[in-house]
Amino acid sequence: MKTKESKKQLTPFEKLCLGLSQDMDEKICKKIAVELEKCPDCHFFYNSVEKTIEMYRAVENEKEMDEEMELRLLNILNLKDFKE
Amino acid sequence: MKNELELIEKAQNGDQKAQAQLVLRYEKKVYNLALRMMRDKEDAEDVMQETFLTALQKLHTFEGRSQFFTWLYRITMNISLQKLRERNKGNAMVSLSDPDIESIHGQHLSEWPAFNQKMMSNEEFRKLLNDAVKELPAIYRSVFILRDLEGLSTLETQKLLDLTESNVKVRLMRARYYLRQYLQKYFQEGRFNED
Repeated sequence: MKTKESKKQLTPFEKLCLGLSQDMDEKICKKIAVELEKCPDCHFFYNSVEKTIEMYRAVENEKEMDEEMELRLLNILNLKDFKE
Repeated sequence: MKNELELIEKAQNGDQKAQAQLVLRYEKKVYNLALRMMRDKEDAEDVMQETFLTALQKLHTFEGRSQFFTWLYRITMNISLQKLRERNKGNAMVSLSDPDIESIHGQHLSEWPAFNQKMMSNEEFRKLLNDAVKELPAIYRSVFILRDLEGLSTLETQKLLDLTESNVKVRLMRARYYLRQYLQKYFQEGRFNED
């Protein structure tokens, strides 16, 4: 059953506190939330922080290691002969 | 993971086949973490090699109180941070400050474009993101990478880097804002906006 709380639309700052900046403590979060309500620039600012993280996550995907690199590693560790 | 614990135990007892299996299981993760920290392929390979050399030498000290990958990550981060400190010897470390909410008022900011495919394949854009992280001092970079890119929790990050919870939070916030400020001018100029 949905509670009253879950139906409430979250403001961008609340979303920021819950998602992007879940690490902020409540006091800072509340202060920021108050600022956002009266400051469109602040809204754009925090939205851009969110996009910054999104861009890094999209671009910095896992890179494959090439076979040569793996061989060099196993060689240094004297484990080359134990690769199955 | 029972299978992994058995593997670790065998490796601790000198079973080289088990050691090789452990290395092969984690090499990609360690390499990627090192690459994110060092921002250079050769340096990342050096870090990866040193990480596994150290890990195998100290394997007998692993008591299973943390997950094995956390233990390996800790070694990787220590080696990376040490190399970054050596690389930056003599350079003054930039100290990042908290975002000043007052100063955001009246800047007439506009909304950044949504991240799109064009940006993703744009070499200049990728270089820009990379340059921004390179400028980020290691103590902030490490937290940003572990929390935002590797997806570790605050608790895992603080344990791994021997920081307090509050340190992790403050450093993460400063790192995010620093990167955002670095990218801002490019978006203001509309260089990567979609046609």
